[in-house]
Amino acid sequence: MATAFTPLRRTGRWVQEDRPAGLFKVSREAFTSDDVLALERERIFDKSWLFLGHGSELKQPNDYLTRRVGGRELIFNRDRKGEFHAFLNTCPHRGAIVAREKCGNALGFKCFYHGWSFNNNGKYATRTPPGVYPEGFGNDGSVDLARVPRIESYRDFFFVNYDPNAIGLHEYLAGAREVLDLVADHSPNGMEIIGGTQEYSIRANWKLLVENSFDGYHAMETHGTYFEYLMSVIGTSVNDDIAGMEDVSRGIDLGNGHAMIEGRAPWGRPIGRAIPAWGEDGKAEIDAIVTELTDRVGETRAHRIANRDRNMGIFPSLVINDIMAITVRTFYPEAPDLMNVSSWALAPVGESREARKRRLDNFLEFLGPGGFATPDDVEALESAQRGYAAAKFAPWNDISRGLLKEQPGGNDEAQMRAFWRAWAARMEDGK
Amino acid sequence: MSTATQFAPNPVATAQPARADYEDFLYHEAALLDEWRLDEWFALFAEGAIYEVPTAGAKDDVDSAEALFYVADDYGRLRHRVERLKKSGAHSEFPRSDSARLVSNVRILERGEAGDLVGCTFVTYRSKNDLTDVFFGHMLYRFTVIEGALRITDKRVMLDMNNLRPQGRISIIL
Amino acid sequence: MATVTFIAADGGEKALDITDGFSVMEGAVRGGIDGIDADCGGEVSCATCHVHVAADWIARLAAPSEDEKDMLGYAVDTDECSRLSCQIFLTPELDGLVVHIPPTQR
Repeated sequence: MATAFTPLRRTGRWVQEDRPAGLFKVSREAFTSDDVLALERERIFDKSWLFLGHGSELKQPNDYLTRRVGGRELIFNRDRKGEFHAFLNTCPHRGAIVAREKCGNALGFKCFYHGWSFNNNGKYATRTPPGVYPEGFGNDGSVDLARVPRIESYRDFFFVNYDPNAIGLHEYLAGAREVLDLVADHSPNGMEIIGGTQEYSIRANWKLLVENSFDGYHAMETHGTYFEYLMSVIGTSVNDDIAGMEDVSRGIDLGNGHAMIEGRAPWGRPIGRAIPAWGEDGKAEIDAIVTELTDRVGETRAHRIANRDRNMGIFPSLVINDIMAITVRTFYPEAPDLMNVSSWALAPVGESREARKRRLDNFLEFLGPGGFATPDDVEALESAQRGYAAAKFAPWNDISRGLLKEQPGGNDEAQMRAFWRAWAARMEDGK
Repeated sequence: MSTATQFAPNPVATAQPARADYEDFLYHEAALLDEWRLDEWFALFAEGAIYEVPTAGAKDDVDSAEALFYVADDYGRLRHRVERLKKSGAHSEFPRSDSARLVSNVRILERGEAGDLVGCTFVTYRSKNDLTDVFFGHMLYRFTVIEGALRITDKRVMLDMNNLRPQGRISIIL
Repeated sequence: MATVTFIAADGGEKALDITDGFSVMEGAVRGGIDGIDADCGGEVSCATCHVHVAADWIARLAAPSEDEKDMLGYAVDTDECSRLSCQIFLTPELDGLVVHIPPTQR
C-alpha cells in the first residue's frame, strides 16, 4: 500500500503512475541505459545501506573476508579486540588489492606489490629509512587503509554506506526491521550463514531480480514444474493449493523502498511446518521447534514465524526470502545487462544434523542455480533483457497489477511499486 | 545422431573392472547426456544412488548436511530432475540447449568392497541464446556392478572454476 | 608446544603455551599479552614486536634473517639480546623460553 506521502500521479521520465486510473508504468530504458546505471551508482548505491555480511561469517577476532559490495572491493574483518571493520581493499600506496584471499584469519595485511603493511584495524604499519618520506609520514592516518564511511548492524546483519551523511541503519530499515526480527527470532541461539556461497551472474539488469524475488504472480507459470514435483512429494493437487495461497498472501510496502509479500505456501518450513515426506521423526522435531518458539515469543508471533512465508526486498538489492529455507541474496550491476549474484543460506545455530540436512535439501530443490526453480527465473530475466532491445517500439513495462485494490495480494505488484517509487524519488526527484 | 545406442559399452567382468571399462562407461554417459537420452542416463544409476554438485572450489569430502551445494539429489529427486527436464515447463532448457561433454583423465582412485572410486576431469560446453558457457572440474564416481553392468551409486561433480560467473544456472545435468 | 614466559617492563610475569610453528608474537597477541604491538601482524614491516630475549636463551634461537636485522634497526632501545618476536618460531627445543617486553615499541 502506498504511503500517505506519495503523489497520486507521477509522470517521470522512467516511472509513471496514475493511481486513480490504476496504472503504473516503468520505462524499459531504466533497464538498458548506461547513463541510468551511472546515475544509480551516484544516487542509490553510493547513498544506501548495502548488505556487507552476517556477523556469523566472522566468528573469531582477526577473521576477515573480502567481498565486492556496490561496485567496490571491500575487506570485512574483526580486529584483535574483536571489533568489526569495513575497509576499501585497495592499497593507499598505488592501489593494488591488499587482501587477496576470500577469507582467513590475520593479525595484519601486507600488500604484495611493494610490501606496505597494515594492522588489521587499518593502521599503516610500515617502517622506511629516514629521508625516504617526510618526517611523521603516515602518522595522520592518511596512508591507513581507507575505511568505508559507515558500518552498522542490525540483529547481526552488517551493512555499509558509502555516504558519510546517511541516516542511521535503524531508521533506514523502517518496516523491514520487523521482518528482520522475524527472521532472527527463528533461533534461541542466534542465526548463522551456512558455509558454501552460490556465486553466479544473470545477464540482465539488477532491478529485474529485485522484482522477481518478491513476485508471487509468476509462481504457477514459471515454476509449474517445481510445484508439480512438490505436490507429488506432499500429495495434494497443485491448483488447489496455489489457489489457497492467494487468499492469505499480501503485498506490503515496508517504507523507504523496502517491500515484501507474506503468505502461506504449500512447502515445508524448517522453522515450523512439517510435510509428510519428513516422516514421524521429522514431524516430532518440528513440533519440538514450534514448542520452543512458542514458549519464547508467544503464540501469535510463533504462528507468524512458523506458518507464514516472507519474500522481502531491502532497497536497493538485498533479498531475504524466509520460505522453504532462508536465503540471503545480494546482487550488484556490473553493466546494465549484467549482475553478479551472491546467495547464502541462513539457519539457526545449533540445528541438529537432520534438521540442517532437511533445510538444505529444501533450499536446493527450489533455490539456487541447480534447483528446480531459480534456473527458470534466470531464463525469464535474461529473456526480458533481450526483449528490452525493442524498447524504442515497446517502451513501457506495466506494473499496474492490484493498484486499485485496498489490500493487494502476493500475486499483485504493490511490492514492485514500493521499490519503483523509492527508485524514482532518488533518480528523478533527487531525494 | 545416436552414437549412444550404436556404441554402448560391453558387459564388464564382475571381478574387477579395468580402467578402460570405466572410461568407456563415462564416454557412454557423456553421449547419453549430450543426446538428451535422459531416461537411459538415469538407468545408469543404481537404486538409492545420489548425484551432487557442491559449490565451486569445495573440498572433495564436503558434507551436504553441513554446507550449501548447488545440487544434492537423492535417488527420488534425481528421478524428478530427469522428469522435469523432459517437460516444456523446464523453461531454462526449452528449447533445449546444445552441449558437448569432454571426459578425460580417467583414473581408478580406490578399489573398494563397497565399489570402486573413479575420478575424471571434465569440460562441458553449453550453448543457448547465442551464448556458450563452460563448466569444468573433476568428478568422483562410486560404482557397483549389477548383472555384469556398471552402475553409479554416487556421482559428485566438483566444479574447479572460481564460481559460475558469468552465467547463472546448472540446468543441464553435468 | 613450548611454554614461553613474558616479563613485562614492570616485572609482572605471564607464561603461555604456544603451539609449534607459531611465533612468540602471535602467541602473545592472541594470548592477550600487552606491550607487543605487532602492528604489521608478522610481516617484518613495523618493528613493533620487539622483545629482549633472556641472556641464557639468545644464543639458542635460530639466527635472524637479513630482513629481520634491517627491521630491528628501527626498534626502540635495542641491545644484543633484541629480536623481533614475530620471527621467533616455537619448537619443543624452546620450551621454557623467557622474553622481556620493552616499556615502549615506539
